Amino acid sequence: MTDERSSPESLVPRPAFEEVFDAHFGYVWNTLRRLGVGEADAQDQAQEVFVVVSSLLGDYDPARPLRPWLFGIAYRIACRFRALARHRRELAMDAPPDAADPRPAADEELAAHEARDLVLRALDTIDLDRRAVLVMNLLDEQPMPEVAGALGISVNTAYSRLRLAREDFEKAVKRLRRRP
Amino acid sequence: MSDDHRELESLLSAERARPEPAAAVKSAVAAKVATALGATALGAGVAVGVATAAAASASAKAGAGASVTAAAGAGIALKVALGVLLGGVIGGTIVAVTLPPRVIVQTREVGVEVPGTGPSAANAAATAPSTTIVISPVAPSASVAPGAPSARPPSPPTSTSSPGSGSIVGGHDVDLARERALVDRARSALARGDAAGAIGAAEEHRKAFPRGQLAEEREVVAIQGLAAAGRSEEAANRAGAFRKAYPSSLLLPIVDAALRPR
Repeated sequence: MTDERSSPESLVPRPAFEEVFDAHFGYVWNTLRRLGVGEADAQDQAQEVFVVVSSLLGDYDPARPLRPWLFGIAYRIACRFRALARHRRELAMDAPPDAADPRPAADEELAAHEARDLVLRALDTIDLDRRAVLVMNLLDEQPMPEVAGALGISVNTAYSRLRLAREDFEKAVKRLRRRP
Repeated sequence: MSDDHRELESLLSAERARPEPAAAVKSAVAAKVATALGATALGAGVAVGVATAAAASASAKAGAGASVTAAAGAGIALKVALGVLLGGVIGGTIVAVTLPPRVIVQTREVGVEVPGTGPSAANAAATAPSTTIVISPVAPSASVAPGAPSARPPSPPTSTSSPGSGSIVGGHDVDLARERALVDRARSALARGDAAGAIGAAEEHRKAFPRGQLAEEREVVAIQGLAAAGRSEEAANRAGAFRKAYPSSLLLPIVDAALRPR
């Protein structure tokens, strides 16, 4: 009968689900894309992420940063998606990631667009568990303890995955540059 | 080496600045989430937080009206959709959410009496359906709103027979789309308080795709449907099987919430 959820027991109030969706939808979307969910599947997978977010929000500690917590959920949804969609992915393996923004762009914009395209394609070649560390640390710029916590691994493991992911990423970029 | 490093850094910084998807995409996902959430809000406890936020903005956003186009902005679409779904949970409102590119939300009051409703603070009846939301006092009873606690609907006319032979149809994409359609149908049935409809759609999925890609989601909505229909024992049994099959499922909290006594 009582629900103290909204009462300010901690200094930082827990955000309402709707606020989380509104403020972080774009982040979740881009995270899914970086974790290998194609444009065509991203809507369904984003839906799954937010369904889970809504059910876990009560466990979220508002004193902690929200994005790593969201990343952890998006990562697990992406893992599951990729495991389930393996057959389909194999078929589509050679297809480049779909262009996110087909509008004609100024040179500078175009270059940035191509760079992002290349990044996604390079990321796509990296094992998901390594890739998640790279995305969180190098793109989201989260400190390593935060990364480790969100992914449920030790900090040492996180560092070693980061090193491997970086190597994979650099190699992939070189390869893709040579043969786009 | 340092050139390489610079190049990588410039790639990464371009990616860091990746733009967010278009507002229409956000609206479309908002509608999908709202559809699914109507289901999970049944007993998940999130109803309160969402209801509070939605109600707080209800009067401000009253102009949103009963029909929201994708272009109207995702925030509003979500607010309206969530508001309507919660209205559905609380007051027996009927909801229809269609998917992109246009999001249409329709409501109809059915006039279910909810104990402890109190003054409907956000009531601006003339305009938005979301204005029918009533806040936290009713949240606990909201979880059983589709059928009043005392007046439980009769068992749904759904057979729970053994799985039929899975129909095998062409490509995975076709199958996945069919699976998705069935699961979405079950979820939206649950969202509008139609437990029998939810169980029926889940059962249809189980027969067609016993080990489908969305079997996990289907089991969850089936459990929610059984619980909402008052078939607690079946819900509990099925939840037990679910925990065995998917011990690390992200959806376990939703299953737990569905089983919680109301």
